[in-house]
Amino acid sequence: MTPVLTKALADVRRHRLQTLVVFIIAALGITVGAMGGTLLVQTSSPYDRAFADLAGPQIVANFDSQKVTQSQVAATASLPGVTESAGPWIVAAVPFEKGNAKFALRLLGRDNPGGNFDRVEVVRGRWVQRAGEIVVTRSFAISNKISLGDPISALGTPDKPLLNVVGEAVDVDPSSNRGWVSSDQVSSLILTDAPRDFQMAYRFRSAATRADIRRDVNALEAATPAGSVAGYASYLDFRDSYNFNNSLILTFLLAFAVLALGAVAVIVANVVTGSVLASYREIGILKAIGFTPRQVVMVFVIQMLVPGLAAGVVGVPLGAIASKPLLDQAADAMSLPPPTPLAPVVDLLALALGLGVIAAATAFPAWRAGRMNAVAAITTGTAPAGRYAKRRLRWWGVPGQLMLGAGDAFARPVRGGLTAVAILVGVATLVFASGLYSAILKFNDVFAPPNFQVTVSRFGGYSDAATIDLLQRQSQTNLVVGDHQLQVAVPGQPDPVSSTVLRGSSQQLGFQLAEGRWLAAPGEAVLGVVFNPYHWRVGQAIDVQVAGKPVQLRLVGACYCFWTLTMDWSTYAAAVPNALPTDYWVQLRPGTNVDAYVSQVSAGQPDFLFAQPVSAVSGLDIEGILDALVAALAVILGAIAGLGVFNALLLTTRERVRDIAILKALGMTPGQVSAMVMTSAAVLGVVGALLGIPAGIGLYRYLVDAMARLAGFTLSSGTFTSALNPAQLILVALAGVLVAILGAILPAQWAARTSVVNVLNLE
Amino acid sequence: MLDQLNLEVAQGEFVAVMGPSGSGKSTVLNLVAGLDRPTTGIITVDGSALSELSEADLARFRRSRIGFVFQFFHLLNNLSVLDNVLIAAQLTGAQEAPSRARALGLLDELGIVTKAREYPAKLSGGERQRVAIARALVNRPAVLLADEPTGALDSHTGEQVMELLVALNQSGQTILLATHDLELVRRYSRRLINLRDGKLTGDSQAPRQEEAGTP
Repeated sequence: MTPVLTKALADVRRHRLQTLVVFIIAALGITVGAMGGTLLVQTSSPYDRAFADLAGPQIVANFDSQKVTQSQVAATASLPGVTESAGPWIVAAVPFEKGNAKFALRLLGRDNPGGNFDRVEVVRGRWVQRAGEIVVTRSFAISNKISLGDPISALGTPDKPLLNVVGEAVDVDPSSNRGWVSSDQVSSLILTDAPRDFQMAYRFRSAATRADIRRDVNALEAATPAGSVAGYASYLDFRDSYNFNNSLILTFLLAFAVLALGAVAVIVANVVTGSVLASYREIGILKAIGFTPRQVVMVFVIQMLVPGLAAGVVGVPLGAIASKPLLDQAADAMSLPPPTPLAPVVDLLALALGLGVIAAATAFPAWRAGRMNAVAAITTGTAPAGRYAKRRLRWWGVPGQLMLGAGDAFARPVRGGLTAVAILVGVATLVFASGLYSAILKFNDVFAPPNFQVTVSRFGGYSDAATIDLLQRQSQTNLVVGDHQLQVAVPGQPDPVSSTVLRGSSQQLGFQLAEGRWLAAPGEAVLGVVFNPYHWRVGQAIDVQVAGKPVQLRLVGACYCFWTLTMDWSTYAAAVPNALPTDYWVQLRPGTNVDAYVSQVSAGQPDFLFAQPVSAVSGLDIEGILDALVAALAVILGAIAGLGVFNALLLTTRERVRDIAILKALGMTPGQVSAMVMTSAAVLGVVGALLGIPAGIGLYRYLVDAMARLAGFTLSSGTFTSALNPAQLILVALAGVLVAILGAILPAQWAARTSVVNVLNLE
Repeated sequence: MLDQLNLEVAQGEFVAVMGPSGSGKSTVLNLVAGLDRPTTGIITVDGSALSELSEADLARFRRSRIGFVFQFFHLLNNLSVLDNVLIAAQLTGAQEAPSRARALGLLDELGIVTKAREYPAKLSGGERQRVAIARALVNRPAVLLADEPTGALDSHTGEQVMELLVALNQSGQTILLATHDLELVRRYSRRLINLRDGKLTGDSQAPRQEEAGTP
């Protein structure tokens, strides 16, 4: 064994507590890093794997059956850019019923699950073989508790035929409420005049970017009658939608991994700085017997890498295990076998990164040891401590032990600074976590549905007039607003914007406005604050195409809406004269029992009206996951910060053991000694907390904006700045000081128990 | 380790405890200061039975009744000379202004008031020991304990320190001195306690060899 290794391993054995602290914080940091890395690499792959396995289409386009024939749609397969295609299939929204539960499915008439292109994977049961059978998406079957063999009634036609569920399937489209029946049955499940589309799936020669996709859709539009392309979705949309939650979680994890590894670096640097200061004499002896400066540095680096390596051995598998539930969930959505959380390259990279951070954090303070003059080091024995703050604090009338403790916090400015940084990281994380939590609450608040309690959809040719009549006949009905969702094209821009058209007194719905006013006249529109891809502003006039016809809109306000434009029906009707809504928002009179109302409407038209209460908004789907993640990571970083304080004070206490013994010899009580050490921690806690708050606010803004970008939101963190209220910030700062004091408890107790006789007699 | 030691020191005495290394000299001082506790037996200092006191009470007893001068001074290196003396007064909760005046007065008496703003690292051994004596006296202790106070000093400085202690004793200060230097005892002490392997082997008056050195 080399002398460097011999000395380093001896030091590891001698400084067991210090080694344990480095091991714990490094293990926590590497765990978070490995988890983030594993998710980063493995979460994007399930969709890509599924897309490859199922030979997924790049574009799925829907054509309006009233404007184009099935053969015209089929002819698009031979367009020059198209390399593969499947369809056309008839597709329509059909209401179903199972027992008392009603639901709407987007039904596709398709006789086989496909082979070499756009394959639908049957994961349970089999494909439809005859009329009277249906295959549903797996996610729909799970969420609605539908099993193979269950009969469900189609409510699109008066005869309400029963269909048997014969299979559960997945494809590359992650949306849930879809089903497949045989092509000859689909038409029999909807009335002749009910809206239906033709759907085609394509691969094009060039579809790598959104601009390519737009060009391909333009080619489809050019090859079919004007306005016949009713909508389309690209594999990029599917992948983004599929990866959305994982991307958000990943942003958090990566940010926390960086913070955790940063905290590890700070604490390791602190440990090594303390070791160097305490070992002047020993370093002098090492150099005197022939250690080169480089070998001295290596002694310290190896001393830290040993617990770092052990931390990697524990942290990497822990990170992999922790990422497994998220990976499983991601794979499950595509019905793929769960990917292994062991990604050797990522694991090795996380380990190398962790060890690299530790080595780098060690090298700088150790380099100082390497440069030390041997004779001076042996003579001095230990580095002289600073002489800060004490005199001034005494003038302020601070009691002696507190004065000494406050001075000790800065007696070693580098150590004090690094410890304060560890607290800063912890406080910044708490500020961020609490800010995010409040932002989610505020998000839910401003995006709460406006004032309507029931939604009603009509199917099967049941008329708009009959629907309105039935609803108005209910004495508890206060207001009925018809709505229609559509995509509005923007000339010169690649993507259309999602829009909502409202018929009736929509101002009474009470949408929350961020700016301006609600619609009052034809040609006016309200802008949604979330998705504003073309950076429109309130007051601006914009040109769009509604159902292929040019329309100019004046933006009069901005609402907290998830769609981009809200228009009045009069504006829409100018472009599509005969359009009628199929969905209705119903505002009830105060005190109305919503469930009773829904039952009444269902009883009035059990087959062709689908009424359901508006459920309380649950916010983001991943709110729970994010809450748990933020809480867990805040605890981890809090623990790292607490351990950082513990370690720094342990070093200080050991280094100051002689001073403590002298003070006890002079009459300082154990309680006063404890108070002195705790004060030192509290001062560092206050400094870290005060600096951590602005750092946390900065981190909050940066990450919330990053999340918004990932989600495609144009909403910025500025919208939720007030989510961070002063009382909350004060509480978080106090929590930082508390963590510092908790970290000081053991060192304070050890200091209080210092044996005067033993310490002073050893000199 | 002390064994069967029975010792009484009257107020105003200057008692030297002598013996070779390991005889128990320092242990006697540590026990009197309440820094150590006997396994059996009773120690009473200025009316306080130390065995009945808790750790915190012992600390309070020490700060108000005991002054301790160590062989290696044991000053707090990151405090100035004045602060080293004042810290002992602050521990008793004494007011700032009178404590400061007393500390400066003591430093003046000991001839190092000009060094009040200096830090211990810049002082000579003799100066450091004077600071330690000033710190030991700042609270007007009932007993001044001095454990080999000249052990780390050259002979000339050692003599100066001893003369200071004698002068203090002459003004009424009770002093218990641990040393292995018979010459010092002969010159400065009035009573000599001899210890060997923790046992009392002699308790006698030690007539001063000369008075010439006394200030």
